[in-house]
Amino acid sequence: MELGKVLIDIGYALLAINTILYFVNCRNKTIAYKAIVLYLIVTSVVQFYSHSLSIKGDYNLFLTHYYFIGQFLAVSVFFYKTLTNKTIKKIICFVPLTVIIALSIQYFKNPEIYYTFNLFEILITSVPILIYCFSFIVQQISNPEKKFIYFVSGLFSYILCSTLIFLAGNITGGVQVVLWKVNNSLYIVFQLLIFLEWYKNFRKKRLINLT
Amino acid sequence: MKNLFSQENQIVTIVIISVLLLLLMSVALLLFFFFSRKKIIEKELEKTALALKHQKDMIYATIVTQEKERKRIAQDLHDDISSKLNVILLNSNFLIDGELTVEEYTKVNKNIIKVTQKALSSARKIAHDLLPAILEEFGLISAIEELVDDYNMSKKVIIEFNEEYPMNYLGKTEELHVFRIIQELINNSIRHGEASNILLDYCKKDENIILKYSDNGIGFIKEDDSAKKGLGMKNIESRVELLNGKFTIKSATNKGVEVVLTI
Repeated sequence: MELGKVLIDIGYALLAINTILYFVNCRNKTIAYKAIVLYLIVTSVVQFYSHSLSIKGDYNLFLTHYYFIGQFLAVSVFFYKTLTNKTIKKIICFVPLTVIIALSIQYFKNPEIYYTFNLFEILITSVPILIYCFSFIVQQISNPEKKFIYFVSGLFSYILCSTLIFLAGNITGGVQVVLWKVNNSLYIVFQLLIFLEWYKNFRKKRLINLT
Repeated sequence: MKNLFSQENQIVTIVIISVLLLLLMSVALLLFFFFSRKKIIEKELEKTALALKHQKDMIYATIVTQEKERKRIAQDLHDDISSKLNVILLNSNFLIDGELTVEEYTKVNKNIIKVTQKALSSARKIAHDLLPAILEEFGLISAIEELVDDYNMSKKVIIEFNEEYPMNYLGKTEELHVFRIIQELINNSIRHGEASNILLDYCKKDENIILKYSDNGIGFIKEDDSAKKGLGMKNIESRVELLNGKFTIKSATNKGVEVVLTI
């Protein structure tokens, strides 16, 4: 089997496992946790739908818009609930609104970009996430609580690298395949970190019976 | 290979390298974050442990002082009051038994009165040592003046006391703390410092009360553990903490002690 395909399949499998694990334990959890569940569900639906379209040979590039905007909104909710700085919280309230207005204007003026990779959209939805991640890391530096640290670390590294890959997504050429392999490998690492987050912080710990 | 350097592929190669560099950067940043976090949290834990130890020491000091005080009171009661009451009881039994001449009867009676008076004055003295009534009734300055007079009368030490303190500026509890601190300082100077002269300044400056205390005793070396961990000093420290005050001690061998307390 081809290496690229194997990487994609491993990524999908991990995503599916994580989504199920997070979803099963969803009850009685914080809103921040539920935002991660939402993020995983949005990503899963987009990934599997796009995969089924590509198998049929249909056009699937328009799904990237749902992926980026869905990711951005879910992650915004997550950071709104976990960050404690009031100024950043205000910014988090304000940014999604601006992004949605800006994108609506863009799509209204230029509807055909719906069928291509929208570079402006990728940039405008990824950069705020990077800033939130950085704020979160700075906030947690003196906090002994370890919740969400693996998830945010993975998100930060993955978004930082994948944004550049997606921005180069419209380029065509032979070496571009390598680029997607790099992206898929990074995605696997990110999913592994999400799994680690669940394993370390949210797994149901068995009570040892001492009697 | 030629294919690799065509213009489009060149761009993609650049992108791949940039991605790898970004990855390296983000990993470095995260590693830096994890290591600094570990260090910061270790430091913070250390700080909490230290604060806890300090608190524990304070509680220990309080308990030990309390026990010591109880023992002293028990001893005072036993030696001064109980023994005298015993004498009174014995004498009273004599009276009940009768068979006494008038002369003996008067003598026993007088003895009872004398010992009762002594017991009364002992009780008063013990009560006074526990909490000087003058502090309650006439305030801190009068209490300090009385304390200073008592010491000066003993001729062991000369205490000079200057004050510029508006009556009742501090609350009753605070005044008691200040009084106890002064008592402890004088006690230390005489017992450990062998001082013959003590200067005591108590005044109000701006919004603060400043207590300056100095003696001409043998002093102590601050690093010396026995002086640092003395019970009396710990007691003073915890009282200063209760007063939300600041407390500095300067001392060197044979140069006396200088204490400044700001409330």
